[in-house]
Amino acid sequence: MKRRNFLTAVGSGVVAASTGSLSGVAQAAGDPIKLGLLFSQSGAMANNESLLKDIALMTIDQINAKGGVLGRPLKGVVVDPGSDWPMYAQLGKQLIQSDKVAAMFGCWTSVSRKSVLPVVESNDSLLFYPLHFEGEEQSKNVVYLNSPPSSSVLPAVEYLMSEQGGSAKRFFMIGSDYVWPRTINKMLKGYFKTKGIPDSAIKEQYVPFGHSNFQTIVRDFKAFAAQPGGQAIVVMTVVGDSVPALFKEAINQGVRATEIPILGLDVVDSDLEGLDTTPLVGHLSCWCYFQNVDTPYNKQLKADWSKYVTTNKLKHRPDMVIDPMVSTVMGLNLWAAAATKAKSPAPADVRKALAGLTVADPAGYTAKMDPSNQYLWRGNMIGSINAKQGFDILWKSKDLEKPIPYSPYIGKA
Amino acid sequence: MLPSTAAHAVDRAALLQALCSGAATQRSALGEIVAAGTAALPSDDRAWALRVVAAMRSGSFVCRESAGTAILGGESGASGSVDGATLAPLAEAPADSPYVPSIVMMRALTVADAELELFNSDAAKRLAAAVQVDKSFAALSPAVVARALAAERDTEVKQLLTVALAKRGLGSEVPEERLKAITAVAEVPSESARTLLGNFLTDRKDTLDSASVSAAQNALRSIDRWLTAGHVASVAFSGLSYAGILLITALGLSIVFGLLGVINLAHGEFIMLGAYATYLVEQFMKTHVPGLFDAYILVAIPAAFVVCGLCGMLLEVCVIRFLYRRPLETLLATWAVSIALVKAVQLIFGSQNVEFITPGFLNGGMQVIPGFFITWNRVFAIVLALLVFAGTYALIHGTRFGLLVRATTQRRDTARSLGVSVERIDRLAFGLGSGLAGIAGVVLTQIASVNPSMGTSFVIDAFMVVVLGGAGSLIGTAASSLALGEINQIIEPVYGAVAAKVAVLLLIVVIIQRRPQGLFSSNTRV
Repeated sequence: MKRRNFLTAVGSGVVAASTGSLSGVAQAAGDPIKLGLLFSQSGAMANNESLLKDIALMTIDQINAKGGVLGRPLKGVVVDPGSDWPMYAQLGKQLIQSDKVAAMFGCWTSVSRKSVLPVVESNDSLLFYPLHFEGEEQSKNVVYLNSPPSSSVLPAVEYLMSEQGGSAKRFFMIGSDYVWPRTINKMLKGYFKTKGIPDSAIKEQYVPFGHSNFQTIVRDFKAFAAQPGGQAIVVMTVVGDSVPALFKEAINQGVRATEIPILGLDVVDSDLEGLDTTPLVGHLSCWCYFQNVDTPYNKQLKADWSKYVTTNKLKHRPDMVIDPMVSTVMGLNLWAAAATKAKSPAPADVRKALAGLTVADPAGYTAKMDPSNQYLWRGNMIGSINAKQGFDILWKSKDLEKPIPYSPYIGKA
Repeated sequence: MLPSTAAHAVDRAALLQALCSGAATQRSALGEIVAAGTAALPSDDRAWALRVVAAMRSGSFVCRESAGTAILGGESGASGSVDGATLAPLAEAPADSPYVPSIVMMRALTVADAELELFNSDAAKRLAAAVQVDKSFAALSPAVVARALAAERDTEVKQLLTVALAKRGLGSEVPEERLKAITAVAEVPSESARTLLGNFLTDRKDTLDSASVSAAQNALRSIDRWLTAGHVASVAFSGLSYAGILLITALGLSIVFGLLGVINLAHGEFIMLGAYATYLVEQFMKTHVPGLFDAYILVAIPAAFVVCGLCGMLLEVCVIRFLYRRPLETLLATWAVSIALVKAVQLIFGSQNVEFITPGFLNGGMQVIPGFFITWNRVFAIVLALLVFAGTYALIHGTRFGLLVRATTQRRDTARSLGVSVERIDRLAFGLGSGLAGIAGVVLTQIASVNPSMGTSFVIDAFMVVVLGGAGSLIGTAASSLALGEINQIIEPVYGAVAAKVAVLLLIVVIIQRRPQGLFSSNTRV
């Protein structure tokens, strides 16, 4: 071990004799360590995922500026799965087998993660996944950087059911038709059952992925809200381009947060970009990070991003940072710390080093890797849409919240 | 306390302090602020109360840890902020973050703002406020509304306020008052009025007199009639608006595929180009003629038509004309063009959705009858689809150019031997089809998200419409879009959007099996 340390420290470029332990990552010291970036730059998810790709490249630059990892520079290998779920698996395989990446960072939707899952498992690689998702999964080959619903969705719904949140009694669940919305809604139904909410007070509907005609559905919101039984809210799990489409229709049909609050679980600042958000003020979302949070690290991160966007002439808004971007940054930093601790970029070593590791969170917490499962402990926030196409922070958890991968409510639905 | 606040009848600083010290005291403090702002005595409290409420709603109200509250974004003073109590400019902008209202507070603030505006001297503002008060009747302050009602002259505002008070008065123990309330509620049918009366009947069925019960039941029946009519009308409207979008996206294809027989998979990308042309027009008008900004959508129609028409002709000259009568190669070539166009636009504009500011006249909508709400952007789509359809139909069936197009498509060799320049006609017709796709792009900027890959989702629907309607028949295209739109919207509310899509696709399979030539067929050269 001493010898390898020495070699990497001087960066001599000599092939280390002890690379035998780096299963599948046979690179010479001094050569860049490759990291795969599996984010779509075309198709329905391009809007959001291209943000993650670019901030990942920025973070890699930053790590390199500080001397890289183990004396070697990092190199991001970018691929474009084109919002086509099977392509994620195919390109993931290519990244691991031909590009020999040490780890992958990628996916937005759960269906894309599920598609890559068998690939990372059979190749024993690592996928760092930056989105909050439906839980119900625990693979030693995936690092879950964001919250499962027990620590993101449930606190938000609980808030809306409290007196402060408007005493919601009836729930209209509208989602895109795939695994994340269906699982979230199944869990919510189980949760509602334990709270004594009757089935008649719950409505569940799905639209195809990429659906944009929400006339009927918004009309249904209004009809549902006017029926007896108490305050109604909408739990919205539509994703991608459907989010602005639904909001546009809600604005036009005059749905206001004061009458029917919409809890948009996948709504981020970038979805609000093209909209006049004045009529949307007060609709909610819940994430581990909102860019209005007032911490020095966050200021720094936002300044870095804005500089990176302007100098590289990227087509993103320089003044917008969203939770999955922050989670991606934290994931890269976490990987770098783990590889340094393990003194090896090999997935198996990194995985061992991850347990219990901490990483600074721009939201003002110090996130911590769970020692027993590969979920990251994060803080949690509820944001309320403001008139400036962003979110104000309505509620913030005092401390980190324990991630519970398998919800106890799923079976109760 | 500052000397200037001492002169006011209310202790503004103390009220603001209460607003800042948690949920428990917030509501009552807000109530007092509204009371102060609506008091009969002439004072500047109304302006102050409005300012505070507006600041709290818009996220520019700051509770400072010391030195009381401040309001951001005041027009005066170097810091751009004013003191919450005195409204005097502050030397320094407050460092603390602004107050974020909870949903409950937001509701209270909406009502508070409306109650304050009931005393505005502008009748239009009072009317808007009365509509809001009526909507949130359960939260209104009866004393304030009664005071506003007493001072009101406008009949419409008066009626709204009376109804709002009546809805609250349903709980009254005096039978005459209850009857009055029931009639007032029944006069303005809506889902919420129905719920209100329904609850009234079930909650109090043991204590009510028979007159109240039968009045309420009659009222319910009449409301139900209105609501059914509203429901039918809104399903029909949704179908019509969906049909409008189908028609406008399919029209261009019905010329290119239907008449020329070219399977143009890049049709969706011409729609996308039309949307981006609209974007450029919007950007241009925003910087150069901001006064006429709202008209950008109208300017964009000819602009998108010309841009896409020219692109279409270019495509015809460079690619398509070598591939007539070779459908498989055309399919592959246009598919390649479609991918190339998507990637090219992605390079220039990026892959993110582009921002469109909806022109003022397309924002919002109106309630036609209870339960039937139309939105202006959909009306715009329907009207434009009809106009474009009428124009295209007139062009194809009423002009010499149209005659030549039909002649060329039906008997190409005969037309050629009669001296028609079929190559020129092909090119123009292809340009026309592409230009129409561009116009579809303009409409879609107001309805769907605009990004480089938006075209793919529309091209399938467009092919579906054209194939079902019968290749080469414009009437068929119109009829099949109407049918598909209505069927989709009739199924969707009952079985969901996914089932609606499945049903429509199955239906098309069955129809194509029975009538391969489509519903309306005409001779083409395919």
